[in-house]
Amino acid sequence: MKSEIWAIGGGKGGTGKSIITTTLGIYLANHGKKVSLIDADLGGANLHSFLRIKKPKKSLTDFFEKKSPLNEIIIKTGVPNLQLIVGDINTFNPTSIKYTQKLKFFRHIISINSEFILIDLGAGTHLNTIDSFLLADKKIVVTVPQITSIENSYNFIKKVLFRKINRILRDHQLKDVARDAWKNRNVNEIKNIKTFLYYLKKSSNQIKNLIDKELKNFKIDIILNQVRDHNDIEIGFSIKSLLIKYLGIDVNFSGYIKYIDSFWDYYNGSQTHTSNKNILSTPLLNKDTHGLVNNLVEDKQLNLFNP
Amino acid sequence: MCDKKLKKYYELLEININATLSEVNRAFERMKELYSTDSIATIPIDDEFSKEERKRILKKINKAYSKIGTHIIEKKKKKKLISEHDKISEKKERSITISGSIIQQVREIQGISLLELSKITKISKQILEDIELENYEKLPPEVYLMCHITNYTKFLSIDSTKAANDYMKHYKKWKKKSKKEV
Ligand SMILES: Nc1ncnc2c1ncn2[C@@H]1O[C@H](COP(=O)(O)OP(=O)(O)OP(=O)(O)O)[C@@H](O)[C@H]1O
Ligand SMILES: [Mg+2]
Repeated sequence: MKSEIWAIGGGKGGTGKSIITTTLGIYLANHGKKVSLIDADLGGANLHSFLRIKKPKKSLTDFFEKKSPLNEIIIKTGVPNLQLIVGDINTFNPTSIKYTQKLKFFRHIISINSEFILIDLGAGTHLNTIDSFLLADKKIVVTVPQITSIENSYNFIKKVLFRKINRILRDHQLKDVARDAWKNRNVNEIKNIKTFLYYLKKSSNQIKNLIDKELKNFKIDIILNQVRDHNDIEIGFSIKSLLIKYLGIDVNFSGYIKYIDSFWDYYNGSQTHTSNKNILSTPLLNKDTHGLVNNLVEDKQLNLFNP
Repeated sequence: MCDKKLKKYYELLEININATLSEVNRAFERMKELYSTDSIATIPIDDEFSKEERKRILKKINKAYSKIGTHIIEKKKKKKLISEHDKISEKKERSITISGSIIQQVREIQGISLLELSKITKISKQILEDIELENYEKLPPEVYLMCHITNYTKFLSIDSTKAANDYMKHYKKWKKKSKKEV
């Protein structure tokens, strides 16, 4: 069975990547899908906490340090159909993963036996993060309607695209073309990713066709979190449109999640939630999630006309 | 219009090819605002995605919008034209002098609102309404008026030359009369 890999990233910290990964996972599992979550936030793993797992016995540390295979460190959660690979909690320094380790990590991810594999990438634009993102079938960027978060998302996506283009060329023995173009960027009038792309495509028909063909299947999905009103939702459409028109890539605005005032009451065990304490859920699991997951699964845009 | 071109226009407005007219309008309003003003979505890439470039996009969007609008209205019309109502209105058209109220009737039969038409024809809704209601005193000067009526009735598949002639005849009569009164 080929599993579908969803990566959740987006540059900025604290936008809700982890809680969204957890929520999507629980939702899909509740609907009978076999789901594995991977906490690849190597600096601040916390998916296990959102799933109320106190002291996980196994984690990615075992994979990287003791060479345990991924399928041996995957653990059950309180939700049927939902498994978790706990992130490295303390000892690991993400920048020190060797290239071969990374490739092994990717190989193992692909071989996990699940219908859905959801990877929480954490914040930042480290190359390891970008490469994991590129590995995914669905590339999800979580942002919130605030200028700093939007800016970080743009930067993240630009870096992803830059890496993608370099890899396309590398895979076709054209590595030098990209390198030289970038090295001489002042002469070539390459100021940003857009002019870089433009320059490469202009350099030869072969490269143009190659890039066009490969980028046809390259798509970003945007989730807008912590939405407070209707104007906030519009920002999602704006981000999508600007990315399409500026970068020329395919972008879906898959959906939004409302800002939940009582977010922490949920975890701090306030009285209002005690009734369903035994059923694992998250404060974000509501009817908006339903539309969002549907759009993600069916590869559709948010449509405010028929929600 | 060929399908490929039309598809491009829909792509430009980032909507599905089956979008309804109100979806099209919504998308257009959204984009017009996005590409003509600064917002927290545009400011972070302001230096790379220049105002000029955004203006160029705005132009393309305008064009796409009017093409799609025309296309949808044509489609609507084709559907409705087959119905009996329109056969009657066609007959009416030949035998009857076309007046503001006839134009209004034909429009209503085709199920097109003034607002929709105004967006497509780029004639203000107020003027369209004044044409229909024959508020002669509020209408723009003759040359413009003639153009507006031609454009407007073209959209409704009314014989636009006849419409303009008929309408202007009445208009001129009214003008003579009002001059005399003064
Ligand atoms: N929809 C929401 N409504 C209210 N609060 C939210 C919502 N989403 C996230 N939060 C708040 O933001 C915090 C951060 O969420 P989360 O840990 O999922 O972000 P993250 O993107 O994974 O952060 P990091 O980059 O540090 O890994 C949450 O603990 C919660 O307080
Ligand atoms: Mg996190």
